[in-house]
Amino acid sequence: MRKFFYPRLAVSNLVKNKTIYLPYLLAGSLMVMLYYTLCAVGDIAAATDSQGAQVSSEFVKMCASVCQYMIAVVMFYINSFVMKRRKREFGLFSILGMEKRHIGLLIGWEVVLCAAFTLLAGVAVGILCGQLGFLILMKLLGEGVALEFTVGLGPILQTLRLFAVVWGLVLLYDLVGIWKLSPIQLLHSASQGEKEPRARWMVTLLGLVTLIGGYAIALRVKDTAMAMLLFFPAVLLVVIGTYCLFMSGSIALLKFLKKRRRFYYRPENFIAVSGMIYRMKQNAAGLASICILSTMVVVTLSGTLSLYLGGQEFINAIAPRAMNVSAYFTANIDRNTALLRDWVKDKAGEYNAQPTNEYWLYEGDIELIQQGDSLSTAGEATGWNTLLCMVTTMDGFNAATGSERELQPGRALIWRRDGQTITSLDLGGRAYETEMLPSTYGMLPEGGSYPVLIVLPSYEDLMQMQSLPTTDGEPRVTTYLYGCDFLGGEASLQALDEDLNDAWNYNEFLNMSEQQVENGIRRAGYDTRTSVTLNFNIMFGSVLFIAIFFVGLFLLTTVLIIYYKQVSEGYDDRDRFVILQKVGMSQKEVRRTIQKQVLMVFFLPLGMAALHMAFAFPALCRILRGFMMTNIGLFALCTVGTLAAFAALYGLVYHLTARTYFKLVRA
Amino acid sequence: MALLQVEHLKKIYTTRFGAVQVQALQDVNFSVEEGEYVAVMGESGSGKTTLLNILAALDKPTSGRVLLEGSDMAAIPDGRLSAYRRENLGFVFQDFNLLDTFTLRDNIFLPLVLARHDPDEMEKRLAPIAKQLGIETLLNKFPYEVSGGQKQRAAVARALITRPRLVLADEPTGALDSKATDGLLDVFEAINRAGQTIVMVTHSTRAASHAGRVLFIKDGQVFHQLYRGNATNEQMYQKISDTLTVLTTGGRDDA
Repeated sequence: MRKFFYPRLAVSNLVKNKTIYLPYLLAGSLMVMLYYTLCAVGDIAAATDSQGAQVSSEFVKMCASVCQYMIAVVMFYINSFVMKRRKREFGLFSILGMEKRHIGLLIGWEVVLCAAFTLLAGVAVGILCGQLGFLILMKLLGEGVALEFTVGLGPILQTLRLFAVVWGLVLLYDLVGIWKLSPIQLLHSASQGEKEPRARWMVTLLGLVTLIGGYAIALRVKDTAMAMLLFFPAVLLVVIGTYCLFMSGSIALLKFLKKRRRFYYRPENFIAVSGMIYRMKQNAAGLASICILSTMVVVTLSGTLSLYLGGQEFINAIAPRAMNVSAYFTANIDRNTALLRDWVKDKAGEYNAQPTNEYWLYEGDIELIQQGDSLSTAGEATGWNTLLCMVTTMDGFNAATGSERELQPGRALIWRRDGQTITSLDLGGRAYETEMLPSTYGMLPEGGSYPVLIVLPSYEDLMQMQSLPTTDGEPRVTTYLYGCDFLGGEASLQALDEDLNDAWNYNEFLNMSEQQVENGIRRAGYDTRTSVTLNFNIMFGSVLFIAIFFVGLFLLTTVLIIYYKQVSEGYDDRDRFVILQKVGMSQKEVRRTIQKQVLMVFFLPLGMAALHMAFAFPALCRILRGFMMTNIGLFALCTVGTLAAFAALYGLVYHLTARTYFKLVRA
Repeated sequence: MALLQVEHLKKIYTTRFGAVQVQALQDVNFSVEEGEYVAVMGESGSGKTTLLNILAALDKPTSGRVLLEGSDMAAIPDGRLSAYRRENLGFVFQDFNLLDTFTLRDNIFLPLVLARHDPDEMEKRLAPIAKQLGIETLLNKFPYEVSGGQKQRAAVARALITRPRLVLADEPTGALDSKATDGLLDVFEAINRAGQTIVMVTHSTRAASHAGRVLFIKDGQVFHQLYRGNATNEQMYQKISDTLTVLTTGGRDDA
């Protein structure tokens, strides 16, 4: 036997099957590249002295460890497709006299070659992308960075380890597959006659019920907490519904169409409908997966993108001023606020700066009993009729929201999340006439979780409420928020900011407040806008960065499924194409019919994904609201933009893969 | 005037770079009258299939012409060709060429659907044909659910349902066992008796023995032809066998 017989044969096999191996190798290399890039970015970021990058590197590493499972699943999927196409060839080899161990050796060589190629190409490109990825991450974190070219051994070893395992498992799977089959089975495995699928009405019904249930839950979500709680059950229902409907609902629909003779026996529909029944049977799972993956891409990208882009709102809500103090008092309110404000003033004084643009507000909360359209402290609490209300003063409300409202004594301003009107308010015997704020109105800091906000005319009104007895006898807690910007020289302001962000100063502030517990300070702390911005960037910058990677992986998976579906369709349609021509259909007609079918099959999941997105939109808005992202317009724009970009990309991939398809059909 | 006239048909296949030329048909002349049942016989490589492909307008001759009812097939523009074949020709193939995604009924309807016939009209046409072919009870089954003979009957029904001028059959018994072959040949005889013109290409003596006339093709030419006259199928079978023997031995002498 000639030297290197098996490696040579393996190479020639790969070249001969380039229609299926080229995308396989490309996809494999991209997976290696993605994984290596993630590892490398995590590694480089951890080695920097930036605190943000270090925290972010933890996220990235976490993402890498999730990614590896997805990569393994996707590689297995492609491999199973490739093997199905090649079993005929192996059958021929075995009839020509190759034993199974020879075929095993051949497959071994093929896998080794593929693995070597993908690893080399992937890591080579990954080394460049790792640097680029790091720069992008730093940009997203809002930190400048000096470019230096580093290639660590760690990420390379990590990548090698993962892909050695993945390719090893792939090889094992192939070998077991070959071992189990006889040569004749190998020869015929690609062309087994298929029965016409039956429409399973129960499954269709289940699909409809779960899908509608999922949509209904998503539409009924009223607030953030509910959205967080119910979103995942809703997603699960929709996923189940999607799979059921694709797998059997589509067939049921086609069967129904088939029964309508006037519709069915038209040239445009005749071949399409009957062909689609089989296509759907073979492709339903793949298409449903494409649909779910597409939805995930759009949700992930539009959500994180709008969060990141709308970040200023989030930062403004958490930290409306350069310095923001929050404290909780049980007594001696005037003395304690002065103490905290003085601390800030003294600190600023050290840098020749002084507080300016100050605001403060007092908040309390109280459980009120609703009877009809009145709220009152009096009455019998049944558990169903009590509402936890946040209460503040007109001054504080104006200061925090920037509005200039006025409130006459004896009147109260009320906001309710559900928009229900309240006509009278009674706080411990003091009655108020009410004015309603529209339910679309934004909330105060810290107010996000309350269903009701009450604005009282004066500080005295609030204190009267705070003096009302509680059920457990504990004193009521008054929340005090204080914020200010600083006036001073630019350099000194920066030094002040750095000083305030220093842990030592923060601890000093904490210690001071903790010593005042007997004097009525329950707890106190502060946030500077700089630290909030930094934390925001670390959090959402990292999330966006990871989202981009996941989207990349989802897209790659989707593209591969589309491509391999097209190829297998092409092989299946070839015979059909020939017969139709013989029976008297022109080549053009055949092509148009088949093209239409393929088009329908591939754009069905995209349409379904758009539908899912439309129904999920209100619930997603509520979830984003939890992250202080209230700019629905921006989110809508991000969603439509992502959807459009995704559809364009999908169309492009379809178009490119369709060429392979027609080449196969015409052959 | 003859229904089908084949005049000086010549077909030369050339390999892609013109290096090798293969002459499939040299000079074929014959004609088929309305209502005739003609079998074309010849060994593998004699040019039978090439001839049939040209008759079916699937291929174009290098020179010579084919006239169907006096009009030249080559003159039909490419865009009309599929419709022309659908309207004038019926096909029966060796490997049935039924679509496995359709029931037998829908397979039979296929050419009519393409011609945009009304569904009720289709049913009306199908009923007598299905009865004649004995496949009435099988119409809702799929090709993989019925036997080879039944598949071929469905294919015959598909060829007949357009009421073609001419039915072209390419080795229709090639994939059938002997019982199914007899059944199918009886069907061909019956539809021929009802007035249908049939041209069948075959190398099975038994299949040819049912025809009214047998043409023998050898080396791209019509070598000989046999008329049935009043002979029975058995006598016809004997005559064809004798001719084939002469043909083969004669062929050796020529070489």
